[in-house]
Amino acid sequence: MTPPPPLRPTGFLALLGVATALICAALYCVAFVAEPDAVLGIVQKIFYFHVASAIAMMLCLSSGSLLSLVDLVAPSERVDALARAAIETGLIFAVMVLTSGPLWARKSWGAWWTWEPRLTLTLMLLLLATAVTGIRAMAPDGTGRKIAAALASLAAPVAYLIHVAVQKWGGTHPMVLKGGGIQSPGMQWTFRIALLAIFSFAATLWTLRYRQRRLEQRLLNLQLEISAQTVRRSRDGGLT
Amino acid sequence: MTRLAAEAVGWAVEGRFVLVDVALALPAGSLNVLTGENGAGKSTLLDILAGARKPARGHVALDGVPLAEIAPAHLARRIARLDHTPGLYLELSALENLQLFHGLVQSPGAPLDAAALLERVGLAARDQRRPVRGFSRGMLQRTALARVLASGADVWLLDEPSTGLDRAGCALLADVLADVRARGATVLLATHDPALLPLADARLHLSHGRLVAAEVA
Amino acid sequence: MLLRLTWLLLQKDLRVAARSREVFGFMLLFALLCVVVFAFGFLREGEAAAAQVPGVLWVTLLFAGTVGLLRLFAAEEEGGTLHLAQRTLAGPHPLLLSKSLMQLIFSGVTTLLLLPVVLVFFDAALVQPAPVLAALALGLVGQAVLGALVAALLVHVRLREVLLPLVLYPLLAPLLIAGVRVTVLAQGNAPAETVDSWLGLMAGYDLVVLATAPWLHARVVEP
Repeated sequence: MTPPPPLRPTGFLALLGVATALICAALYCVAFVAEPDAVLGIVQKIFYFHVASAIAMMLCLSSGSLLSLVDLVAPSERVDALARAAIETGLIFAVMVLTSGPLWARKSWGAWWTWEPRLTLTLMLLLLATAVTGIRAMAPDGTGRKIAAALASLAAPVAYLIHVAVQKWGGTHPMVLKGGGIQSPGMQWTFRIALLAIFSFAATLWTLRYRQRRLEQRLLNLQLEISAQTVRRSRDGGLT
Repeated sequence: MTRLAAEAVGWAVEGRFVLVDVALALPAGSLNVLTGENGAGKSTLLDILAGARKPARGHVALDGVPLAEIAPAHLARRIARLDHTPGLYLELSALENLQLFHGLVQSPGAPLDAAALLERVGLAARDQRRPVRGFSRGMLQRTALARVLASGADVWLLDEPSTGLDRAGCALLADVLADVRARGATVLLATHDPALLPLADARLHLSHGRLVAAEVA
Repeated sequence: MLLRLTWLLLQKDLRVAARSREVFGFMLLFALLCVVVFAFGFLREGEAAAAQVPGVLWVTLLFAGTVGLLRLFAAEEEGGTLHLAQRTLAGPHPLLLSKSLMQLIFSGVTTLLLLPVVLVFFDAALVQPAPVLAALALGLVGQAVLGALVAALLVHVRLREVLLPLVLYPLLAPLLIAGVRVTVLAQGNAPAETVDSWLGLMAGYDLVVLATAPWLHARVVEP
């Protein structure tokens, strides 16, 4: 058996560097470049990371769902690793959204939690993604991958319907205020940089998890190969 | 003519191979016995041969066609599997079970004399009509044997078929197996029962994850 | 052929259920118990009980449905017949379809018996019964098909009793939200278009589930 080419960490390290630099830049901009909001004050600054995290979460989870579908149609270890890494990264950003969301809500709406449609959707997605991830651990050898992939691919269209439903539902609450718009050029630039910073951070986590899964899969294949050799040898030894 | 063939079949559980490089070729109209210590992978091999599990390596072919390319519906008609569960609905009677499973895999109108089949495995008429939940292990096994008979399959993969059977039941099993072999079916049974060994045309032995000896009895 | 085999399996399920007398009675009893517990939990003096009807009704159906779903494949597991029922002439589709229908029959009958009880217990009246019945039908179909799918996928999974609701409830959220809204609106004289848009959402949900569930099921159960 020829060993597969080594998985070099070059790409990951480069991403890590870019993400670190961008996050520092974004923090600087949030602190010193963007003006405090005229109405909401300093708390509005959560917005930059909160919204960027929400977008990153949606991107990660929807690509995780799509990749799961691809893995279901044409199974491939690489796609499986990509899909799992995407969903797990999405989970991390869901937690970030659900942490920064209530902080924002407390100041702007006066309550830690409101059933604001987007927050509700994020909570539902967090619960769903956690359950789907948990199934893999509980399924007997190897079957969890297909089950999780099936549920993850179903989750995307359902998530859209949840979105529609909570939007209509939340629309009946008059307390949803429009606030925290970004008006000045300084705010806009800060938001763009924060967006890039969070995206590169997401890409870094995704790559990290993907590499880990690939290495795990390779280790397992190697272990299998050794196991096969051992079985063959013990049989040959047993006969002579 | 080779009916069922396995080539370089491997199966792993949690990173450890249970079966490695298993190759076998079962001719049509043959009765083969598979032996091996507990945990050697006999049941797993039968599952793989039946197409119920996809092997991690290698492939299985029925009449030269890889199982993966055969429609599952067709496979269900050709290969019958008897494992450690009876494969019966416990609330249904023996007759109802047979009719149900026959209906699931055979086209409508295919003849089935369920009562005669149950008679053949030694189930009295009054037992045929009561739910099998009340059956003893041996009676369940007899009913399961009738289910395999009713399926009309020509490849039989049986896992410890004599479990729970009394002496008369074992003789009946041997009789049924010899009968279907004579009619061209291919039988592979995993067993520890010495009474069934003399029937075999070939004996396969699983040891250390490999099919080590295939001696003709 | 699909329908013939589905009918064969459904007939079997009904027969098994009639003889074991297991699930259905418990489902109904459990639903009643839910209503009582919700009454203890939600009713307050000085507040109209009728306002709680939509929530109590739908959450009770969600919970009672789960009881049925957790036992949906019990007969297959007990007798070791799952692989036999999956491998029919029409593939695994008759199994999923028959299990969905079985669940639908149970939850449908439970609903029909439960609805008047809830209305009486909570002293409520439905100003517009038609949209509520439509919403119940759409909701139960979605729950039955999706529930049967999830139950089928989780059959061999450890802790499936816990995982089934964990997976199912978020997936059923649109139906629950829409069903409760329709029932709330139907208690008053809501404009028809608002009600219809919620019903449309439920119908769309059912379509998505009906279109994807058989394929996903077949994909997962094949070796």
